[in-house]
Amino acid sequence: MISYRKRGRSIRREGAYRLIVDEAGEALQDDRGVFRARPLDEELALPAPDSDAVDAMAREIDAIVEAPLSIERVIVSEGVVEHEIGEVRWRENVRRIHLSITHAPMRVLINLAEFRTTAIRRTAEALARAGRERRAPKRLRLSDAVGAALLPLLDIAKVQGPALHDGNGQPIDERAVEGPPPNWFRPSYRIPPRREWFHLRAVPFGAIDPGVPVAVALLASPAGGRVRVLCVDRGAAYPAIVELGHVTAARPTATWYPYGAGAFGAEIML
Amino acid sequence: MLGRPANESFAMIRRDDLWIEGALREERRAAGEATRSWNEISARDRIADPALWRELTERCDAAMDSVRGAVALARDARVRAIATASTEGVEVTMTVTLAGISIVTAPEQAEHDIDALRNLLAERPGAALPGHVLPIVWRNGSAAVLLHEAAGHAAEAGHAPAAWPSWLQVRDDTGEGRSSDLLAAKPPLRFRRESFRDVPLRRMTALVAEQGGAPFELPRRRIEVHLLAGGGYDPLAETVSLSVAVADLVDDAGARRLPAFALHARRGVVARSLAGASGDPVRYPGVICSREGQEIFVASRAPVMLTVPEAFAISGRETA
Repeated sequence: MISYRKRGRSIRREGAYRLIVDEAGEALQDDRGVFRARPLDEELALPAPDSDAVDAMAREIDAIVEAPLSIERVIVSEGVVEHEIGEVRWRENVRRIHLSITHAPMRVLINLAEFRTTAIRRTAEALARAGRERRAPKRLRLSDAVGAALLPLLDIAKVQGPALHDGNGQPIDERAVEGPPPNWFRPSYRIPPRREWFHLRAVPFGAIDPGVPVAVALLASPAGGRVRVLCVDRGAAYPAIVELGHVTAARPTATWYPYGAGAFGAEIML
Repeated sequence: MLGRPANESFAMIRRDDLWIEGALREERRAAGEATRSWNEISARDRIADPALWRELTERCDAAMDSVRGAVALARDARVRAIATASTEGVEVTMTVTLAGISIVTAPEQAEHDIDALRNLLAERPGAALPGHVLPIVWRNGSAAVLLHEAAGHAAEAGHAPAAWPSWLQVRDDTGEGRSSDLLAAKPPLRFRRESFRDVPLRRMTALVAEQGGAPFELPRRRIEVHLLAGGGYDPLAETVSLSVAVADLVDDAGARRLPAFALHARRGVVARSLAGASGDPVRYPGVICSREGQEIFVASRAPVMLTVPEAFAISGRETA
């Protein structure tokens, strides 16, 4: 019988609401593979998250997104989480921003794991002056944020980044992404763990040309090997549909993004 | 919950069980409460009042007990049953999946709905998707899903009314004797949430579409839609997308099963495409509506309805 316990305190700004949520729960998997999850019904002994930081970040996003742009959806959260499995206990602080900004008929999707607004400002500035859709340029660079979101779909060499614990408390070793993932991911105690690659990182190759147009944000989720992105080409900004085909260069960055079990930024040349 | 008091509290107990081919595979329990003061919500996965905890637990357990007989009817299926007892009432849903096709039903309707699903899935000749869109007859209450997306979500988003036919009425019933006119772009009256840790949002509770004096003439060659796998409404583009799971091509040669396909149209085009309806509203077996990451059951009823070809772009794996 495997018992996994998770305790967490979080503060979340979601639209006009501010939510403070305390939770403690346990997941059990018996020898026959039956998965059970239940609340622990116990007092939490965790520090409170930094509510001032959450409120300040939400205000800053509000100030960045000015007409003709509008915020369609914003979630800013900070959590303190403690995991326990057998004798292994570890704690982490988690920050997230999930944001969609619209400039009809366009919508950009931004997902971040840190309270920094550089990418939000850059994206909002491009979206505000975006014109009509154009054909995708022949050579295109994906910004590190766009590359991170698309990393699982790109046919390039990738490695799993190391970390101390997976969802079963086991160490995560650095290794090439080949075959089935060796580690287990638990995004919540309420769902059974699944095998997943952690902290994906592109293996660098080729040369990134900083002079070519760059896709700064996703305008939709990828589907059918294509994705709609917001491109910036010197003074122009426009939406374009990009085929996720041949990659000519990749360069990882140090920024970690909350996609799947984590992905590092990846500048990509298509 | 109707209207918005400045302060409110909410508590819930939920059991969420998954059976695969008659064997219990997953069992989740949740309990918690939330208090809201203006726009600030404090939530905890405990219920402080022991009497309330006992009462909700008993109601939730009784609701889940009512599911067990229905699970036995579908030992070859994947059945996910969710029973929720909250300070707003009790709700039980069963999502039954056979051969990759799902319905959402309740214990008292499960036998009928599972039999109907088996009949729908019975072997029959197949046909390739037509290369162009034919008139569509929306059977089995499935027009409720089309209207849920095109009228319900548009009303939630505060969009102006479209040019709906005068013979059509679509309302959202709160279950407490009040309703809103979705075709007049009146938003749902109830604020609903998936769990204590979620923000309550104006969401539909029970969509009812009715017709009065609508024309209806069955086209000789048509698509008949029976079940949908999902739908969506993009409030920015005002477009409706539907994923059709079970549909037939019907013509002089009889009914032939089509592969799964998708339909896309702007909301105004959907309104203009409604060409007729027949009979009383029929209960559609299942709409689990997902918005802002919160999944909520919405009861859905609609008469048999007809849309003309101009409405939709069609996409699928095979066309002829």
